[in-house]
Amino acid sequence: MDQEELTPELEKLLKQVRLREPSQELMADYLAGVNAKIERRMNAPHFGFREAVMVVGVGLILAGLFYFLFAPSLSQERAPEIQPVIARHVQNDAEAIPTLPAGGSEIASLPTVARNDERIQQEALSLEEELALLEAFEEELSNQEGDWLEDEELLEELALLDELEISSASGAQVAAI
Amino acid sequence: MSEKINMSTTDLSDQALVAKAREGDKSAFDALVLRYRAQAILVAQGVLRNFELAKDASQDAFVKAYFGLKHFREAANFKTWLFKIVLNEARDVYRREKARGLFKFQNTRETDEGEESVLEVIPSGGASPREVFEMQETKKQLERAIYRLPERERDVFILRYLNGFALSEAAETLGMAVGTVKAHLAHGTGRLRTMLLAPAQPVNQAGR
Repeated sequence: MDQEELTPELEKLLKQVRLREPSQELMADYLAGVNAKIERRMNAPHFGFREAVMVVGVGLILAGLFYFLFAPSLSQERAPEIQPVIARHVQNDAEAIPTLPAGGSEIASLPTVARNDERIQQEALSLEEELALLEAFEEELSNQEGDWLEDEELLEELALLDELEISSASGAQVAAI
Repeated sequence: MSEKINMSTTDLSDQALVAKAREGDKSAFDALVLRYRAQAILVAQGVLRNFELAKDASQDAFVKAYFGLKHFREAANFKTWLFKIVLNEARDVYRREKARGLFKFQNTRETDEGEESVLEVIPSGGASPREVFEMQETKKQLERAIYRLPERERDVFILRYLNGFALSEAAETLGMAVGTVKAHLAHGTGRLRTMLLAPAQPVNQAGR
């Protein structure tokens, strides 16, 4: 012992004592206990870093497969796109005025509505398509500048066009006779 | 089951046994266990003050050493490396048992005199009964004083003066510089001197 660190009394005291060593009976199966613990650890399932990486990798692959296999079918179940309906709707606007049905201008109702009513009857739209069409019509109606129903100039023009159509139709009938 | 000692391995150095164990020679590792088991229990017992827990902790430390041999640098000191594992394992057991609230600082082994202690008096021939009694009382006071020391000072003191570790071995085992070990020893022996020589004075209750 380093005599510089201990006082004489303490050094003397420490020379008289020691740590109590375990008895031979208590130590008899020590090595067997160590070997048993080693065996148990070797046979125990091990889940370490490598196994965690494998689990994460397999999970990502399965998620990717699920996405590529089922995502397209899930997207097709959505409501049909509104754009083609609106395009058809806008096209109806361009064609609606010259082709108003004879005998009734039905000023109170917009020409595109009559056109669309025929289209709806002819094409037997699904419920979703009908709802989309109505939504698009309402949207377009709200976007129009001014109020068609109260636009007197437009109403006068429509009335004039009705008369022209009627007169041209009656003229054609007379010519046929 | 009696534990056979392979006579061909008992004379080999730690370094040779470690090299053989790394190659897969199980008997070489068994020889290392037999060589250091007693001291491993004593080191663990210095922390736990319970033989059964110390035995269990030291066995777990040997298991960790077995599986850690592939990472052991052959140039390093096997003894200090092993006892570092033993100390860490003992501290883990201490914290675990303390968290459970079941751990009590009691020794489970009884001396012939019916007392419980991790220390024993070295028999000296020709001592009178009175001298033996005084030595037993002094031993108890010493043990109480040691376990009142702060943890680091206590660990250093037990390794150095009760386990016979050299300063460098104690430093390597505890992961300290040699100078730090000396400082802890100086403070620890100073406190022991105060506690043993003046027991009536207020004692620093900085221990566990």
